[in-house]
Amino acid sequence: MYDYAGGLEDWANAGEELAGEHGGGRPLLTGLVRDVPTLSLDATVADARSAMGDAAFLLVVDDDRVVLGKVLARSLEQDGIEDDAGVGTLLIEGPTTVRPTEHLPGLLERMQQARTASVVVTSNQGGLIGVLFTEDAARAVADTEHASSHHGGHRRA
Amino acid sequence: MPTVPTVDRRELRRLIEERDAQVVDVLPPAEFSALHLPGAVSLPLKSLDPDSVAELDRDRPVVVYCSGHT
Repeated sequence: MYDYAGGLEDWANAGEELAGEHGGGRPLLTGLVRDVPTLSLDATVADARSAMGDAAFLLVVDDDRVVLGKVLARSLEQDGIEDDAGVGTLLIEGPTTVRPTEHLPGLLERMQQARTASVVVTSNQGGLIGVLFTEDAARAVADTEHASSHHGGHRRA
Repeated sequence: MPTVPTVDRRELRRLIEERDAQVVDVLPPAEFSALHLPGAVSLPLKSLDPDSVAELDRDRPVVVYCSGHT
């Protein structure tokens, strides 16, 4: 007997196929997440300005890509923020994270209730996978529901 | 008490492909129904007994897994 210690989450984090009512192929979140800019904690505010681009926020990660926090684009626009200050001065620690094995409709409902525009997706070791935006989740859930009702219609006909 | 050797994802794949390993999900039935590895069978940890284990083929490797939360 052997023990696959990484278990379901390791399998899902690698983008391997899953079975079951919430599976039906690749993990739902893995294909939906987007990349966002990242920086290490020793970066400066100038680095953050440069890395931010058009993003609404960036994530600060450690060497293992464990998420330490986020820096909002609008916080870079505050008066009195020096370019050579550490990015840690603007850090919002401990953003909410979810795993890629989350059941998407349930997660979307929670995101909408919390009125959050995005949620950080990490592995079970805390490593950053990407960011799931509410609009992408809503579109995916709507597409799935549309496909289900479409197929259902055919079955009833 | 003997220890159970751990395998990573690559080794698990090798065991399945080369030795037709049986993959056993020990999570509760509801969790198994929601999500599991393709081809896995459900033998919930709480209901493991000689009868349930007897369903497994003794001539093939068995790989157990759970959620991976540690």
